[in-house]
Amino acid sequence: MDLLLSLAKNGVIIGLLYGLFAYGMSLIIATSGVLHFAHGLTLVGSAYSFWFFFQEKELGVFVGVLAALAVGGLIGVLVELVIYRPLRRIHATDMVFLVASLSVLTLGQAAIVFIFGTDPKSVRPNEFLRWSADVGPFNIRTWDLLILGASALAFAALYLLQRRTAVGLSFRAVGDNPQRAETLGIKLQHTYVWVFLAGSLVAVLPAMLLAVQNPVTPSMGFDLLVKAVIALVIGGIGSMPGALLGGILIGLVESLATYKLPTEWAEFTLYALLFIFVIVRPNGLTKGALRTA
Amino acid sequence: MLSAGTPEARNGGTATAEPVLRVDGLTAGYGKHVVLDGVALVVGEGELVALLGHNGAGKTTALRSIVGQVRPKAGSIHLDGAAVTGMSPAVTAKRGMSMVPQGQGVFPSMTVEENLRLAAAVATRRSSNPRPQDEVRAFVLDMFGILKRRHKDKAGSFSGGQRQMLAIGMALMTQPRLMLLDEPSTGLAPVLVDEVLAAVRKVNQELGTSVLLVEQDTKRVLAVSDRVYVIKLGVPVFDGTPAEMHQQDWSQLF
Amino acid sequence: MNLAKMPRRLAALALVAGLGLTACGGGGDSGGSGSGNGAGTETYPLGVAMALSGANAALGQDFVKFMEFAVEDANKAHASDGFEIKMVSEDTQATAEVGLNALNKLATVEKVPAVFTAWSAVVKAMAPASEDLGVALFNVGANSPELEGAGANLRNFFPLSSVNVRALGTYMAKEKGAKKAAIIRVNNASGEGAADVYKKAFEAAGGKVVATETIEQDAVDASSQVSKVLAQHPDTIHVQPLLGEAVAIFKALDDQGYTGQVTTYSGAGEAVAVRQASGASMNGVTYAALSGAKADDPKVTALVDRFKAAQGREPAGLSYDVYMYDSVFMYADIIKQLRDKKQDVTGKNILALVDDVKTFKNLPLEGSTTFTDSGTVIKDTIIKRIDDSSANPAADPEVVTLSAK
Repeated sequence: MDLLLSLAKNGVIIGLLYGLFAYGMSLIIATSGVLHFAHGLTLVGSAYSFWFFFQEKELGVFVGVLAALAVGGLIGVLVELVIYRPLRRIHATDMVFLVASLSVLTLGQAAIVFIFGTDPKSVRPNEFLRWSADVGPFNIRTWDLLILGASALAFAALYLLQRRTAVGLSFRAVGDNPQRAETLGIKLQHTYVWVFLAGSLVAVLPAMLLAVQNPVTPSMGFDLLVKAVIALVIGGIGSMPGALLGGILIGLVESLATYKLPTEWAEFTLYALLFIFVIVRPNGLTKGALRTA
Repeated sequence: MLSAGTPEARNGGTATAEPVLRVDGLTAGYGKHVVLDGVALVVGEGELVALLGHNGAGKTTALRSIVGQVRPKAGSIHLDGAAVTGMSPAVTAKRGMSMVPQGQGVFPSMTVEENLRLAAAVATRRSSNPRPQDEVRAFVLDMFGILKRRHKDKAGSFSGGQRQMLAIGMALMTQPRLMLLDEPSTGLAPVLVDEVLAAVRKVNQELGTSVLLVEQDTKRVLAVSDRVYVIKLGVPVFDGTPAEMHQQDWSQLF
Repeated sequence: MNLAKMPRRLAALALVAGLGLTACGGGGDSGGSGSGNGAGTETYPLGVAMALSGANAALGQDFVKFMEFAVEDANKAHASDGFEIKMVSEDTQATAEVGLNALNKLATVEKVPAVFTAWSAVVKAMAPASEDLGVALFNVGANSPELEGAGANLRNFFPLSSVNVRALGTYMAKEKGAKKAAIIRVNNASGEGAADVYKKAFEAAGGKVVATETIEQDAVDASSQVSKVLAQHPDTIHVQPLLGEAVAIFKALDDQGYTGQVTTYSGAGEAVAVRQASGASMNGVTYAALSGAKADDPKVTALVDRFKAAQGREPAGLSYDVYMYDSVFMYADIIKQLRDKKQDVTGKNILALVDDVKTFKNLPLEGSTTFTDSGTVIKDTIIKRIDDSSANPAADPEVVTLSAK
């Protein structure tokens, strides 16, 4: 029983990390309609930035976080301005956007190899990060608490942004009907820039969480990108709560499946779940913000 | 109830003052196909002007050209005397035009409240006498009771008529110089058409908002309009008051 | 550009398919090529297939760099023998598919007689293909026990983990008195092979492996694996990872307060990035290192300095790099002996010579190495303990040396 409970806890925590990454991606997809795989580059870029300023230059955690946010936000905005905006102008198809996004991801990783090399970088864990305690059947780590905090922060921030602020409402409006949004006076180009900025800033949270837990490499977070996309499909593409729910669900499935099955089956159960969703419920758990109309 | 617009505003459309909207020689089309040819029209301060015509006469293209969704091939469009020809919809909206498009005027995933709030937030109020947002909001909710009762509901759960009311409400929240409506009666039950047109007239009279209304339902529209234009196959064929219109042989116009 | 225009099922599939694209993305950049002949000296190509892009590129690029140093040095040493070696490198991305392409290109386009490669999955895939292509295949960096006898044209210059993991398993059961062991391994061929060897050795020495759990390569969290393993209350836990996931395992073991002996192999124990990222959670771990060239050997430190001067950083996998360096000298030795016998340097002749000579004595770092009849090499195993994970692995204290016998 204790094992089951602790597996469930592990599943929720890792699921939140998947969901956190999917969350920013979902925000971007819902508003711009772009399958933004280059979100993976935002993750890698901000993780390197955090490592560089916090660990390598030893400028303290505050500067490290700020630098990660700055670089993460910049990558998202630049990709929108330099890649997607010209493509939108020539009415490129979804496939062109997809290929462009994947190319940016690959090229960006190559650029990081060029700048920092391929050898893994490490943020050395300190006593604060190494702390852990047993609470009932659960082993609670600093990392768990950081993930919980980051998820709560991201969820609350985006919830308020999308309901209380003009820019957040305009994200949803453009996602619903860009033409109508424009006749109402919303400048689409501005909205896209803001949504790429906001979504990319969200990705900086999982980037830093990964950087303090695992080596920082040019190909880091690929696992996370795969899981995030599965979370999006399961949660409903373009749905914000769906992204988080999808993340938690796959985290739980991956973890709980190992209770009876050998751990190498974890990935299999995940893809089986994805397969079932794609066939039986392609709209995902929640309906998703996108319509086929 | 709200007081009507100030006398200055109501009487702004005198012969000497610049009209709110002036369209001259508007020619537009898609590819080589010309849909509109030399259309001219004027909407004066505080006027409710109807643009009538058969299906395919070019009414919607005229509206889309005015707000910038279609780039005109020739002609000019002036809002308050300033040229807005060929400007993007977002810009014409900022200048004070608010279009209520046919059918798709609301954001379905957002609640009534959020739709109205967004409209109020993105607008730069261009009305000659801007009012406090709360006042306009109260006016809209009073006029359309359903919006008040269901203000927490998603617009996507609304019927066509309710959506049309919300779309008009959103346009009003921007406090526009000119509200443009594209066939608001389409797909609505007759009783709802009356309600929507009455609301448009009420907005025009009580808030003093200038309106350009595109419609097919000629009889109902004549009852609420100050002046009427008719276009046929992209060419203007009539320009006058509803009274003058009643004296015409309609079979020649449509 | 709008997803809304795509049917949802298609959109969902596109997402997944798109990821597939990135998974196998990246191009194969090739290193040097050509076959310029100096006056009077004959040039022999050496095919090298390593992971030059992807997650394992850090190690692969190190390997190639050390082999470049070796080619330079070996050519100098053999200047009077009238031949020189020219290295031709191809990218494998550490995967079987890309690796096979690399092998094909090296054998058919570059026409190399021998290909030096690493990574167990790659070597395993190349072994049968190398027979068809008629090239000699040398494993210079993979350690899966499955590679023993995996193909007629394969020779394992690098010691397989069966050697030191077997020694470690035996040692833990026999010398340290562990009764119950658990294994956490990476979910690939080398992880599986090594775990199997450990289990056999541990159980043959009287212990019992009570749990084996796997983890995906580069997984970010190992809490579930550790929870499952700890539920069986093992006396010792052997960790057989690749790289990124190693950190997750050591951290989770530390977080969940495991107090028994944690063991691993040199690939994880000596990896600087793993040690730094794991921090104090890796202190107290013991690992089985290979004997032979040691990090504090002046010849090795000189090479490391040369590497640092060229690359501006520490090498990522020094315990492998020394084999890479030596392997080129073995190749030079083979060429020299074939030339002395007036034989052509072909894949077939190379293999025949290796099987005939067996021992190569002119290896600068290790001194000499000897192939067994099954095409593998045997080494002593040194058990080391990590007292301070932030220190250089060379400073790790030696616990015991287990003779290969």
